Amino acid sequence: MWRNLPTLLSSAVRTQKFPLATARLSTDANMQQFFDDEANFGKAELRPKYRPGRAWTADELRLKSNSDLHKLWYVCLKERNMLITMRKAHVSRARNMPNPERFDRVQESMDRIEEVVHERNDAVLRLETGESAAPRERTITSFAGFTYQKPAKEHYLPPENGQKEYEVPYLDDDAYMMQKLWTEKEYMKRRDQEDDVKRRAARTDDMERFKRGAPRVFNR
Amino acid sequence: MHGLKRILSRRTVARGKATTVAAQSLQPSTEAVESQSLQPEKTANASSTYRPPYYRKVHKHHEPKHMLQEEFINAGDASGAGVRLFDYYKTAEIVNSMPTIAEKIDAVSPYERPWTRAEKTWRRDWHPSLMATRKAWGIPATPAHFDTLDYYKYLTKTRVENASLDEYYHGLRPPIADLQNKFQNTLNSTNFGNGDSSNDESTQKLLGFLLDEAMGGIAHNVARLSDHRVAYDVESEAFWIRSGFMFLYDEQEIGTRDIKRRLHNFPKFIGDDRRKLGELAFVHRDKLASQVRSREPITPMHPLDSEDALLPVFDDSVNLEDLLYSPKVYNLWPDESPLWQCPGYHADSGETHLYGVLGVKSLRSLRKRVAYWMGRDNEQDLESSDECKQMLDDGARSQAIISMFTTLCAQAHNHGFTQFNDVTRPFTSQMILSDGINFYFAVGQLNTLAINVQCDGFVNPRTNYIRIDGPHRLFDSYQDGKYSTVQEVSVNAEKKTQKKVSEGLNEKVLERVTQMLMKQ
Amino acid sequence: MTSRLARLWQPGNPQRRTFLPDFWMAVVESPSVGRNKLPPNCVKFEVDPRMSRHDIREYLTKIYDLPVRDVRTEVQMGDIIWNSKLDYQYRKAMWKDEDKKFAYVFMSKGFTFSFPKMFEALEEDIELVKAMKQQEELKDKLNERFANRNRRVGNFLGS
Repeated sequence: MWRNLPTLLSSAVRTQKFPLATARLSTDANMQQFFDDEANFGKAELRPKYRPGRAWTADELRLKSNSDLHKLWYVCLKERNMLITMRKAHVSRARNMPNPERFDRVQESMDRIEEVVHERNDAVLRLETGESAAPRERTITSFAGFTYQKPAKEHYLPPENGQKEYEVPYLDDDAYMMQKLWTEKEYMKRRDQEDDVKRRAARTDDMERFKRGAPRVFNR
Repeated sequence: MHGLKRILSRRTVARGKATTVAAQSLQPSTEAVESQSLQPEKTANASSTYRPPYYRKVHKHHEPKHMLQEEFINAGDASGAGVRLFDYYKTAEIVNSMPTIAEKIDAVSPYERPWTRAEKTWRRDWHPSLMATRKAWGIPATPAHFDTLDYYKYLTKTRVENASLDEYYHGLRPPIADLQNKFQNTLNSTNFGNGDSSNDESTQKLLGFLLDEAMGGIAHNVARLSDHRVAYDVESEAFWIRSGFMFLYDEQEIGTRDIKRRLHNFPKFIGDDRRKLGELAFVHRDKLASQVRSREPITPMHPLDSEDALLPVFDDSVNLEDLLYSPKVYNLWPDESPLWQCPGYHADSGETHLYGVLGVKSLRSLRKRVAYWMGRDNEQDLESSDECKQMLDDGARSQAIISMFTTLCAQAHNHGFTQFNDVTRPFTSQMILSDGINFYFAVGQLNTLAINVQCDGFVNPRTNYIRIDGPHRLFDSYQDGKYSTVQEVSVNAEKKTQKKVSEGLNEKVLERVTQMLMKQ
Repeated sequence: MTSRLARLWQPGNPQRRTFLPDFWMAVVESPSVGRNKLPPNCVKFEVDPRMSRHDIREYLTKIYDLPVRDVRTEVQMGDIIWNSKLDYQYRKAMWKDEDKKFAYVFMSKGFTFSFPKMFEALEEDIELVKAMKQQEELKDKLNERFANRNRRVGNFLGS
């Protein structure tokens, strides 16, 4: 069942207006946006009519225009704020919040919007500049010789001596030894795993029944 | 009980030095406390203050444990009022016995110096814990919150009247043609323009110039002006204690409706006495652009025992519960520095001109704050919004109240009166507050200082008073180096006012400034 | 500009704008009596710790259209669980809760807000009350108050 955009999950939000609306809402209505529908107060579980639907999927979102996604983002943001407010109110009184899966659904929707927007942004940037939109990652070698990716950070001043981290082509003695030992250990772990699998496959029923210390059942 | 010698020793700690005050043998008299409460103006002395038989806690001693205790309460333990009153009158006695004014002020000062590093390092576990020192709530030079008017009225127990000051200056007709020309020249030479681009410092200087030129204009007529003392960039500081903050110790459990007052095993509020009396200390460190002082005071607006001095601060429609909040709500912060009573001079400076006749304060920084509160980038065009105008007006009036009270309180202290021995004559002063364009004129009177105690048996119906007149614009428009004002001139006798544009600055403002200088 | 990354800014740079902000804000209750009582035009929020006063003001003004006048923030350090309650000098922290940031937002003077009462009539409590009532009625029906369901038939007859 398709919903018209930009609608959202719970009924409370369906009635709200958008942040760019020209009409100025009364103060009560503005603060009401932080709270759930009054019908839902104090409920252990929301009634079927007010239950939220599922999250937006990435494919559904890819069909929408950028301005629609922008609006949906803010709708989700307000919904998330409302849910956080409700959860804190419940937690302070040691009560269970009804339908906590709403959090996960809103978060998933927001993550997917971000993913779709990032895809589009990335595509445009690659077309125009050749660089990706993702934050730059640097490859760094640790003191033990392991390489890992680290996101690049901005700095005001150039690095001082010993501050900058690099990926080194040759390791020093200790790191070299460490990498050798590590590889050896990983190899032995893998070998033991494979042996375990083989042994388990070669086990027969009789071996199971007659193994030492196994329960000897009288009445089968 | 008669004739039994009792020695009261009170140790006042961390007031710069530790002193032990030992009282003499006291003759108990039963009517003393009651007569004290009926006539608070009498100075307390050794024969009138006596230690009540149940000198215990300043609050209700304990909750009744059974029906008998509920019905037949021990009169001494029912409320802490008797103890509080005794302490009040005893302090009054101590203050009266101090020889010099500086010592009186030090005795009354709630300042407690912070612990030194050595005291903190060398404290051992079996030593008593170093209790937090008492800090006064620092009221900023410009209101830091946009809704401080009612709160400041309560803090200083001042009744505000927003009315014209014409009748107070009736009869004073100074010549202002000279001042017109001179001040216009000053404005042009300082590149004042239409006033949009000035800052606090330049506004203060400008107000200083205005005062100088006004004085110069009438000096030949008014001889006593030659004996007046004029100061610039004046520090006007005062501290006082205000009671009525016991609600800060209330607590309501979540889910229940009952409100409990927690005094035992509960931290004391900043600024309060360590016995949790609900009496907070406040300090205001003001920066006046200029101040005129004289040897004689100016005539008060009403005498001390008149009806006007007894009118309440708020009318019956105002509920104090809605008004009073913690000082943090009004963006006040605790002030650790030493406290002074300084109306432009200190008590031990040997000043001869003890009465402040006129104080001038700059309100320029208020515009910046209002622009920030309204979410604007600059201070231009603040008058376009009603809310802005309201904020500016409220801020100016709050500042008038608090600045006025500061100078008057400090002056009263420098004449030997304190919050424990109340003033016996009113203190009056005048103030001009301005941000360069809008002028507020205020005349204030201090009728009482004893606002630091609130309990059964302490009766002080007197309130302080201030009359604020404003805002008056210095000019309405500025074009090509010429200022012009829009005046409302009444046409014929039909009481119709016609707007007439006249060249020059607002005559009313200049006249009022000069009148304030001439007032005696 | 995004709120997930901390980007640098230097004087002379254009105004930073956040596109699709990630910040959250929740309204929090404050006591109605005592030292922490707030005036009716003040709302207490718990906000994402990365937000500044400027961010909070913009957020509320643009997304919720609220007449914000003053914003004051306060960071509350999370509780720490120590391995020894008494040994102040040598104790070690075993766990620390996350720090929280609270914002006291003052709206224009006529604005009033009071936290809605949500748990006055709880479903679970109502069901309990219903169950208790049904039990009472059942007692009446079975004449529990007067019937003697005591199996032990009196000492006289027994012994």
